[in-house]
Amino acid sequence: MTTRLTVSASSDADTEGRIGQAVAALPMSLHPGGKDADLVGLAGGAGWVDAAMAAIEAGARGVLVVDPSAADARALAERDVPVVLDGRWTYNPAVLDSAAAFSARNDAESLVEVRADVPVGSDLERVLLSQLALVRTAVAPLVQLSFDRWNARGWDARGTLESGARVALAAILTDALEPAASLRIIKPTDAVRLTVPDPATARPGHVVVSSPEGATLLVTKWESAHRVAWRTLHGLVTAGATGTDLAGFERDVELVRGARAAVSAA
Amino acid sequence: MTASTLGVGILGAGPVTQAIHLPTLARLTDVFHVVRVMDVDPAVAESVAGRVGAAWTTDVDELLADEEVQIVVICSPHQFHAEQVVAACRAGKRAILCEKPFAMTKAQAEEIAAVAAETRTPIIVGAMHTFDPGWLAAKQHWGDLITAAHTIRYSIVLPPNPRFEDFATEVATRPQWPAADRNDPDVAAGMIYGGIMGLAIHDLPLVRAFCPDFTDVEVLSCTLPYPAGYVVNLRVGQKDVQVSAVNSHSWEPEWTFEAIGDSSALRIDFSPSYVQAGSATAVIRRGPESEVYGPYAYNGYEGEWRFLAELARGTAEPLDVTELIHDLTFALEVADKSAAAVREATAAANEKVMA
Repeated sequence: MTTRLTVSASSDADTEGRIGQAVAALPMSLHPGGKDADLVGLAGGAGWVDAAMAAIEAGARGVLVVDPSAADARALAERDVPVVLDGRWTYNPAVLDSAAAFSARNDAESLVEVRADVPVGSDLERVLLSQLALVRTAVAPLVQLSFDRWNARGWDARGTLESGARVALAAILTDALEPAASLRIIKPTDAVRLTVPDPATARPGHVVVSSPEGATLLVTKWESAHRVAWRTLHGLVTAGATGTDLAGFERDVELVRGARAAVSAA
Repeated sequence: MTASTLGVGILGAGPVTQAIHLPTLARLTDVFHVVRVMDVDPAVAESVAGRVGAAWTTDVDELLADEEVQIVVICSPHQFHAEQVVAACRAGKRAILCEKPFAMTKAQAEEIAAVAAETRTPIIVGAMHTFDPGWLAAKQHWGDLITAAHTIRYSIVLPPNPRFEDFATEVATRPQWPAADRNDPDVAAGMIYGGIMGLAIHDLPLVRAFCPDFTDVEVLSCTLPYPAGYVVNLRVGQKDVQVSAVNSHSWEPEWTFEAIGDSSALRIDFSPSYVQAGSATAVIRRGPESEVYGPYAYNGYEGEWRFLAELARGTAEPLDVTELIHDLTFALEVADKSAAAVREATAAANEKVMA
């Protein structure tokens, strides 16, 4: 039998993360709750780590953070409470489903391309953190990052994975295109292409694995990333696990800070 | 062939002639007939000429002296383009199509411009996508996108050419490329230079069209992917540009061009070269609304031949050769600076390994 947990969310988190919709779409697992809810949804703006700590102090059994900004989350990681970081794309089911195909092609001869099309006015650093989480989840964590360009219209950056694979990262701020991310790995003989829509939509991401023998579209799943993130948090809490989001996030924040500092110093 | 069709002479009978131009001319037999084919390899010249009932030669001058040759198409190796364009102008031909690049230096290009003006010979460069009906339709409808676009993306995933050549024709011979040590800085730089001048050059005129300050070029980075290609991040005036290509045997060829602004964007998906698969499809997006142009029935190669016929018959205005020179100098600058960046990066990587 499914354990039903209660959820509360700040107004900002509810707006940014469509939490009401996600909870309504998991009626056997989740139910709206009050101040003593089992799970708490927080917006990822400044101060989210303090808010998460406070929620845990108040008895929350799990926390979900929508689109987290850069922060020192080490103290939070030391608590034995699951925290799910609901970045823009990570929890789209296509991302998890693509991981095996990407990982199998991750070596020094690979070129990884990742691009985000996001609305004008988006917080670039938060977009970058979501993008790094996407690469980390689908392929592997970046171990090096440097910027060719960072301006009000987006960025172009280069990075590497531990395997030696080279990564080209880009973000383009535009209202002309649908918000989305794309990730591709290209090798001399084959390729994998992933497209991920906005987290609020249930339109599916697409994964196409391509080789000289042909191209295969993996199974499409019509589930929003937000719903998957809440489902994941529910699973962690009921299983007594904590997840790995915070550990990956800490490494990403360190990488971003180093690369941004190099841009500022240049 | 009829008396009213235009006589074509072809310099260089390699795969581009065999798999692109002859199949295109086969669709335009009411406009053109091939008179003579020249190649340095007599067996190739004879074989290719025999397919279209043309004469053959190994001598450029013999082809240019043939009065039945009214239009010359130059498909020889890059280093011969400039001298052959000049010679064709001097031979009094009615129009010239030169495969890109039409010269390898700005000085050569300026010489061509002078001779073309003196002899009043119309010249077009085989940047086929600039003649693609999809591109031309987008051009008519993109409004202020030239100024509004802040980001330009030009991306190619290129399968091996034979995959398409073999659907277009039966190729007589193919050039062989020796293996190269890409860890050698000069080899890496040469691969990038060759990639830009041999592949990127196809659509650098499209990139330039969106970069009014095209003389202000900064290469921010250049990467040489496996097994070949280029990933170049550029600042061109105020525009953020990425030009990339990767050779891959994977099954999803891609040839796209994008110009993206705050509130409008253009994406063009071009059909593969070689095959007669119709034009590009252009999509202009303005928020949730899209306008789609194409695909049309024919591709840019056929478009360039149709335009060439109009030039030869005097029914179209010749292109401004100055613009062709600008296209060339832009390409040369991107190629030179990208090659230099990779040479430096490769040398630095080698030093790091040695240390």
